[in-house]
Amino acid sequence: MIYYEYKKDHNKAYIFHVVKNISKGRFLRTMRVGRNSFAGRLLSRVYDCFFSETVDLLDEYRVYHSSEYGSFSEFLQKKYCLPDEVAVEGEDKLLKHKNTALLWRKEHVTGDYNLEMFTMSSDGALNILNSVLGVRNEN
Amino acid sequence: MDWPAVKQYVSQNTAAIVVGLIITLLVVPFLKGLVKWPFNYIRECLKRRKQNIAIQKKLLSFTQDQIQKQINSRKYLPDSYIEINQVKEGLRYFCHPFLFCNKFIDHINRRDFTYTNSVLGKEIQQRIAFKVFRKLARPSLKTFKAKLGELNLSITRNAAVLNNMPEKSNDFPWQARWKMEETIAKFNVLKSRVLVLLDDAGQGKTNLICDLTKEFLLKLEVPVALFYGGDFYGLNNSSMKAFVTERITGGTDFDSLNKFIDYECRRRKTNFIIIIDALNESSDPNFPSALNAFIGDMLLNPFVRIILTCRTEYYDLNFKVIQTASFAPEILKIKGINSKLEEHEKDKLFRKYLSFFNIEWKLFAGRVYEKLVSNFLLLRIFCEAHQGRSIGSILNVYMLDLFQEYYRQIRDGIKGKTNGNDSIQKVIREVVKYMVDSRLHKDVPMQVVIDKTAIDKNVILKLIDENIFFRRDVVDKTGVLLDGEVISFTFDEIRDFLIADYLANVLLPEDEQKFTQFITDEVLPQKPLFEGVSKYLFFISKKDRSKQKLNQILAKMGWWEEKYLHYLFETNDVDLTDQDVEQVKREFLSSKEKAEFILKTLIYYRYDPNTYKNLNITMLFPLLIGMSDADRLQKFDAFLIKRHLSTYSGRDDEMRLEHYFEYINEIIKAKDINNPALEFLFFIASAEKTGSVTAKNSLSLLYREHQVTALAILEKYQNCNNEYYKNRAHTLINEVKPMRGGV
Repeated sequence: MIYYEYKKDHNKAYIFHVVKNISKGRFLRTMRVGRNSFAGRLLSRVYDCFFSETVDLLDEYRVYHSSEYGSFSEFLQKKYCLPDEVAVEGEDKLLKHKNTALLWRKEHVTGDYNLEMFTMSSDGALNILNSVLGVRNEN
Repeated sequence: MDWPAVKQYVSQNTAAIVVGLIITLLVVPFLKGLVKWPFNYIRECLKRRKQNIAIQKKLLSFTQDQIQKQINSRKYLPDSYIEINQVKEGLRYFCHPFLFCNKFIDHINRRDFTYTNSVLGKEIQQRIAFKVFRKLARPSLKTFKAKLGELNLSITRNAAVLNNMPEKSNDFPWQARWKMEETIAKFNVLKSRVLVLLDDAGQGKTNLICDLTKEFLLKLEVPVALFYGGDFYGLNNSSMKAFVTERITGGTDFDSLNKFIDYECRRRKTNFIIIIDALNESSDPNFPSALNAFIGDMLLNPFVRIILTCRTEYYDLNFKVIQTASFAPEILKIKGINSKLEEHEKDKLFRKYLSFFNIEWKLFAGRVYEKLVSNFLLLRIFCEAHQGRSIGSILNVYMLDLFQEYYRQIRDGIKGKTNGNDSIQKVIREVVKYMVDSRLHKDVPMQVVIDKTAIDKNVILKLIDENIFFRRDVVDKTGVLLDGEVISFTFDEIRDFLIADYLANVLLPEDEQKFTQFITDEVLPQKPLFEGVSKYLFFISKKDRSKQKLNQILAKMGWWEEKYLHYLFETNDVDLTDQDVEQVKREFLSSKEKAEFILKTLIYYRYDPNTYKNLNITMLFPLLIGMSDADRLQKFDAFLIKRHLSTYSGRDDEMRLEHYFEYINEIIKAKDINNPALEFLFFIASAEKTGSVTAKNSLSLLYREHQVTALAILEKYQNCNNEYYKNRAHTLINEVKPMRGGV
């Protein structure tokens, strides 16, 4: 699900490859927790940690940068400074998996715990998140 | 005709006839005009359209030419800009506000202060929340301004809420403040109409501006006129407007320029961008006031936006008039356009430079790569000096040769353009002479150079601005320098090279005593010139063997002994002689520390006798054979025990031994069986220390593929005078034969 992580402009940045339009409600339902329970509030923060202030890269490219860059991978290489092969593979992923998106975000953007603190605290956490948010047959 | 009846009719209806005639006289021209009007309008429109298309074409070709000028002068390397920070994004917002206003709205709609509000909820009454804004559906000046007002209200309200938050709390979410600052910065760019980019010399302002123009403005068909400070001279307060009008429209009518701007911007739903890059490059004293008047005039057209770039200290000193002008509130300054590059970005830029200069390469040694990417000015010099060549593997950068080649290219380039004019030589010589005479190593007064060289100031300014050799600075006018302008070298290594060159080739032949005095006083370990000048003097003494005197004077210096080996191994191999190799052998035997340094340098870098014909790994063979057991244990085996030679750990030092083994592998594959570097396998294998397993494997591979060569190496040492190596050769023959081999 975490497609790529790297440093950009002195900040850690992530690119997620996820199924499009997963709402917080759907996420909490899939995790089988009530919105107002303790687990629900915790997982709500986890959700924000993934999705808060993310940029849908393909949308951004299409609306604002398609005249500037000849292809989506060129946009990823030049605007987001991704290594060439990562950018090309990113474009392939979207072609192969319809209804998925590449989302970009900076770490610490909400002010809450960072992604690693939430997901790496136990081995299973990332797997659970993958099963909910990730793209099947990929990880 | 019945005239009486007509007369009677007229006399009875005189009034009606008169009224009828008057009406006819009035209505007919009106009707005629009504019929003509659309034709005239269409004709006028077509004429204006034709005129606008002509201006549009002229503008496009003008801007493209301006970019090409910078490509030719190499101030702009196409495709080399890496967007490491938000500066270029800010410029997008500024140049195409109608489009990027929506991107800003996306940005602000994404802003999430949920966590901030939850942490600080108890301490404050209000919450931080941006309302969801609708995007600009029909971009126009009117809708854009209305949207700006709406955004401004929301940002101001939320910023005020955040500012009122108490920061005492330990868990105050500092990200909230940072996010708000980022949003405000973006908004300020969006609403301002004059953007000033400020940074020091050589930071890539021109590269950024050209990249923005070529890759963004022209591709999005935003009308843009690109000028350089140096384009403007002989100005008065109104002539700048006329000059710009002439360049853009080909005529002198400012009104037609304004009409064109209105027409283009309404049609394309964009703004008109005027860029003036490098304000500091204009030598016209009236430029600041002319620019001030020009900006004032241009901003009367609501579609116009202006970008200026300048060296920071020049702007602060010379363009105060702009900072206090009536349009000052419309100005936004961005100081510093660069950020530190991440490793992958450095690598990207490194490859782009080499590709732009059409350099084919196979390998860069780690230390060379590090040196080049840690200073992109040096990388630039390296690329210019090697452009269009296939350079193979670069294990060393010979700075003396590099700078000499670079200087030669610059000098020849200027001579070629100016029919043999040697102005750059004169300027460099005077700058360096002043530095040596005054014992200063920067800030040479411009006036001194003008007086001594008798070259026109404008020519000197052009030379300085077109070459990365020099940097023009302004010193405090309250100081001793009346002119206020000074020249320095952009890069300390170049300065040191040029000073050393002047000392060895001009001062020493002219005045030996003065030369010696300078060396004794200034080329001392604690002085700033020491590292560079001592090194380049050493290189020059090795390159030009006729400079016996130089060699003798240097050898008397206190630092000579300590620096000798370091400098020798940095000297281009073609400049070394047998005498130098013999000296290295003596140094090797003189101490364990020196032996370690020599071994490390030979084994890690100088293992290829084809590349390093004079001083290479083969130098060690007779030395090792001639050594006593105690000496060998101390000066060779002890070195191999060290972790340096481990081939398993990933340290850079250790990786270099891998290069030797890789090289051996290539030799064996290429059947270069007479290569003497192969013999060193015997010595590593004999030591039975780290690295010996790989060496034995290589020997075994050699034995399998080229049995005669492998045996010849081992038999050679079976018959040598050293008992230890004799025995090791016997044992190794038996060990190598049954092995399967492979590296």
